[in-house]
Amino acid sequence: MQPERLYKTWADRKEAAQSYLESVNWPNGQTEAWKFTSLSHLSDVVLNPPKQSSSIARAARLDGEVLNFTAGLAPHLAAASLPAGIIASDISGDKAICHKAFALLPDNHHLTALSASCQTAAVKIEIAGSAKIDTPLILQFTDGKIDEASHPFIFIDIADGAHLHLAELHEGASSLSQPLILVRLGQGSTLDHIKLQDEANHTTHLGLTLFRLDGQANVNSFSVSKGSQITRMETHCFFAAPDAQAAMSAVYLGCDNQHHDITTVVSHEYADCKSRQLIRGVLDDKARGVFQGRVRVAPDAQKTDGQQMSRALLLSRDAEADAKPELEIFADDVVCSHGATVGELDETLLFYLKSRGIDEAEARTMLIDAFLVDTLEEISYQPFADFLRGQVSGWTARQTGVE
Amino acid sequence: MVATVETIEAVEQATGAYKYGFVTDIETEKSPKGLSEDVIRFISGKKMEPEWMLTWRLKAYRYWLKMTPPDWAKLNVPPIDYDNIYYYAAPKSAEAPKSLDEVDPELLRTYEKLGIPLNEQKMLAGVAVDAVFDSVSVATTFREELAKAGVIFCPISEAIREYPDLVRKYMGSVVPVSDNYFSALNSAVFTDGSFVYIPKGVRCPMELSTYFRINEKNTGQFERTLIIAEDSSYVSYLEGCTAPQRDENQLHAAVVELVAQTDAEIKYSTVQNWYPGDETGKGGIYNFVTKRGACRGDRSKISWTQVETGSAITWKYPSCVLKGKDSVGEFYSVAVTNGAQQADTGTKMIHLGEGSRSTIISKGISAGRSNNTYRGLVEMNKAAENSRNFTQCDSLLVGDTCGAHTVPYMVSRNPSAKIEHEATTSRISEDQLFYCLQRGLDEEEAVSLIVNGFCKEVMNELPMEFAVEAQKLIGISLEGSVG
Repeated sequence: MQPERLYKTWADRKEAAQSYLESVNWPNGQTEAWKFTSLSHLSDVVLNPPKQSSSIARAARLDGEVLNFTAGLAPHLAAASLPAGIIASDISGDKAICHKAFALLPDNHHLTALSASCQTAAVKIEIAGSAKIDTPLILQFTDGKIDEASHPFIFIDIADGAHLHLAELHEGASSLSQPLILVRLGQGSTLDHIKLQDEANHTTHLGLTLFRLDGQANVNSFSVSKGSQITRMETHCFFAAPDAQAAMSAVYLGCDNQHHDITTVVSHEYADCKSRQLIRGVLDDKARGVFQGRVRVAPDAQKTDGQQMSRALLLSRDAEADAKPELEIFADDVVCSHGATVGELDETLLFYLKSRGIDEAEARTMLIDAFLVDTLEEISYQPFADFLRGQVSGWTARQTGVE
Repeated sequence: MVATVETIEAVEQATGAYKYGFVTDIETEKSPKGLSEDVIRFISGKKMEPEWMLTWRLKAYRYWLKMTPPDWAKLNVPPIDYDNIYYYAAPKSAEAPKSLDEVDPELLRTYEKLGIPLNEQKMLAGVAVDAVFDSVSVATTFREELAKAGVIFCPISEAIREYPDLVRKYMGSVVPVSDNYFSALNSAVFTDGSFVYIPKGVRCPMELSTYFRINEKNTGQFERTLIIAEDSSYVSYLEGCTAPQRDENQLHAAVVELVAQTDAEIKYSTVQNWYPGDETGKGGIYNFVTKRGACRGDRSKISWTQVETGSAITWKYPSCVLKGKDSVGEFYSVAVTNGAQQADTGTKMIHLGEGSRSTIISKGISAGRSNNTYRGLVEMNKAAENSRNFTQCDSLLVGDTCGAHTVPYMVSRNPSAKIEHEATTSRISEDQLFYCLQRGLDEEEAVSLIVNGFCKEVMNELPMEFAVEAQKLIGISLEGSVG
């Protein structure tokens, strides 16, 4: 984590970020953290800040309170009628808050620097501890033009003991979409979180969501990446106190010549925390899928339980799956494991289904669905689970031609 | 159980000081300090090399000048002053010795202290030793018996003169000159190493063995090994090394190339026990090695087994390029780090051929304040139809001040290929320790016993002579890590 003293003010940080970005340009395979995902194509893309346009209220595909970020710009918060207990404020003018929030983000990180330097919106959402909020909060990212880059920053502060259902729906059309979401979970608070990346097929999506957990906090997060041309979806979890829990699972669905990169970082800094990750990927056509997962256990983080499992399914001869699960362990009394497999659909299972009179396409659909379904069971909030199941099944049906 | 008793004895014998820490005084002939084209010409001249070899070295040197050291490993490498190293130091002797009697007795005494069976080896079952003292091979035995079988086993400098066609054909074909920073450096300045050629259909009549030994102060050792196994041949090669105690860091950048043709099998075993430095890591060896084998022919097989206990810093990834149909690559590794040691080691399995298979079993043991990283790549390429890989990486932490890390890379470009990877991290359980203590073992014996059990799958792959030494080494390496 970034020591605050490095940058005394927001201006310092912004300047440092700018000079860093100028010095490194876009990362490519030469940088270890970007080994499988190169952004060098962005050098040739014109990227302008989004133009202010009248925001059109769009109905979300999911029920809940919607905050719509059009082209990466902040919504009109005064007009938003949020339920009691949720306070949203524009902090783009409040440099002190931005500065404090960024001190909680990882240092020397390309996406953090990019956000500090190019921010197009900065919104803080506070969740009061006493409030009982049943409806999910939906952050919806829409629109954008082909020569635009969107860099919204959203800082969600969940008070001790509070509970929130949070959905991120990324459905924009900017050339570059770089949302940065920081969620601080107070003591004993809980969060159900989903993230759907379904951006336009020319977009480069570089999303970073970071959870920072206090003691006894609990986050249940699930990401689905299926849109855009090139995706790098990072989810970080930072245990800032003992005895917290995180489940961070993800599914990526690749077709045509898409590139999906799911990168996760779990930092166990304190004792008795538990993390669990299930990752599944299905790749068709010429798609490429990447999973990079790092679990770090600090010297004092005894009794850590860190589990990770990633599996990829290749449906086509031209698809590629890459994985780099990583364990970095400095404490001895821990239970940590990771597993990874890559393969194709099991021919014997396919044969079994066909021998029962199920046609090829349908049998394949069933097997792909089965491959993905056990991860979806990780989602504890039912409306979220149902919504993502629909997204995943829809994709499978379209790929196999069983619609 | 015999081995266990020996381990205990070994631990008792070791009294805190590095067992193999001593310096032998033998005059050596050195090149000027530092690296330049002139130094390379000097080395090449000393070796009486043909012109093409010098050209090759200079080409490598020019590549090296443009390269930068790798920085992706989880290693903290102090800057190396390449101009403060002697690139050539050979034991001074008028002529190459023709038999053991002609070998400098001081040298032989050194080997005796190390327990290398150079004199007694004739009694030992079928081990021929090509002993490397500093940079020149001083004695090679069992040549005749090997010659009868048609096997060539000689220093690489000799091979360059005697078998230029073979060397030119294969050297650099597995590890290209420009492969990486350290291999380029090695290609420019390598002084000696071993050359092995097993002709078609020959099963090498004995296990070939080279003991490496770094002696002269400030001498970076740049070994070059080339092993070629022709169709349907078999060879088992053993490499073991120890080094005397000293103050300044020593760089070791070896290159090993293996070529296995159709139905050939090469088994390469290493026990590495170089000086790890003092408690702070000062003075230890930097072991930056490029080892790669090419399974060129169908059904060829290359198997790497390594027991890494020494060196201050290890950067080593013995790899297999599985080009032949149904070719097999294996990697069995035990890496033990203690004190302030750092190891970043693993393998690369590059599957190119149909039906190729690879197995990776890696056991990492960290103790003290050391850091031990497994880093391995499994790559399934387009043509690697129905290829298989299985990887298992287990880490064991002894104490709570060390680090154990696992960084596998998996790349799959063929749907019919299967990659499976498993990794676990654990520590010695209280129950296991309690059970051993209750049976009258002390804590260090118990740890040695449990750790040897943890590594059993790898130890079983070692040739018998090595297995015993390796078990002792593990015991010694972990000394002082408990209690």
